[in-house]
Amino acid sequence: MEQQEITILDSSFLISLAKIDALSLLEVFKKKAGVTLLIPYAIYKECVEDGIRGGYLDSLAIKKQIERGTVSMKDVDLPSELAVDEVLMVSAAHWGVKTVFVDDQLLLKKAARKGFIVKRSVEFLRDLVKKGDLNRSDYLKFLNRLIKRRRISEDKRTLYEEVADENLDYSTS
Amino acid sequence: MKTLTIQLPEKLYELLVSYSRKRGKDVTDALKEYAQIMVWEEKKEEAISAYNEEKVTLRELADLLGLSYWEADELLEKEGIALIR
Repeated sequence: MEQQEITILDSSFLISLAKIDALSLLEVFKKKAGVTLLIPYAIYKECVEDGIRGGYLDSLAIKKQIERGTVSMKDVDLPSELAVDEVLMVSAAHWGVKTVFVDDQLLLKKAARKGFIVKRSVEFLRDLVKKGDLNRSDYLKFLNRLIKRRRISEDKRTLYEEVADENLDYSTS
Repeated sequence: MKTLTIQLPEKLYELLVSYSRKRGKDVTDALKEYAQIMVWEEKKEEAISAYNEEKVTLRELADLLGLSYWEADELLEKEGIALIR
């Protein structure tokens, strides 16, 4: 039996989707793409446990997606002193991950340099539009929210409204 | 605790007294509070610049400022800094 492709998610990406009320789209993506969405325990701790402790309601929405099984949590035996950025990269390599979903400017470039395909939340949404799983009007609504919540900069609005498709290469920038 | 003796211009001293009264503190505590704010603001600006210049990730920014990941994320939003450009 062929093993499902694995996509790993960073807290930045999960928090972005939570802040724009788009976490449910992960389930749509997972079913259509037939991929496994994974997070290491360090990411779970950060965006769920620490979030709940800090009183961030969006962390409960992320927790719900994990409880529903849309996103699975798995751990790798790693030194406890390893920074979460490193845990993400090492876990991705260990699990044979092809794609990393991340909304952190520097981290996505680091991941791209390591050979992973990187997708930001806005590109994740655009992919859904291209596959017919999200209509353009909803896409624009989510894009507005991403800009309003400062997940992407306002000066990129036109680019994301107009550009239908292109693969951005972060590894060389 | 270190003891610091400083000389202030009359005008600045009056402003400091006014500041301390507004906060219901004595002048020494008001000065300490103000110094802490200044140090925090300086650290914050440095950390945000480092993030903008792609020298640190969001997690590293959080570590620099002693914040949780969520707090650092919230700080960038409040400061109007886009996570991704």
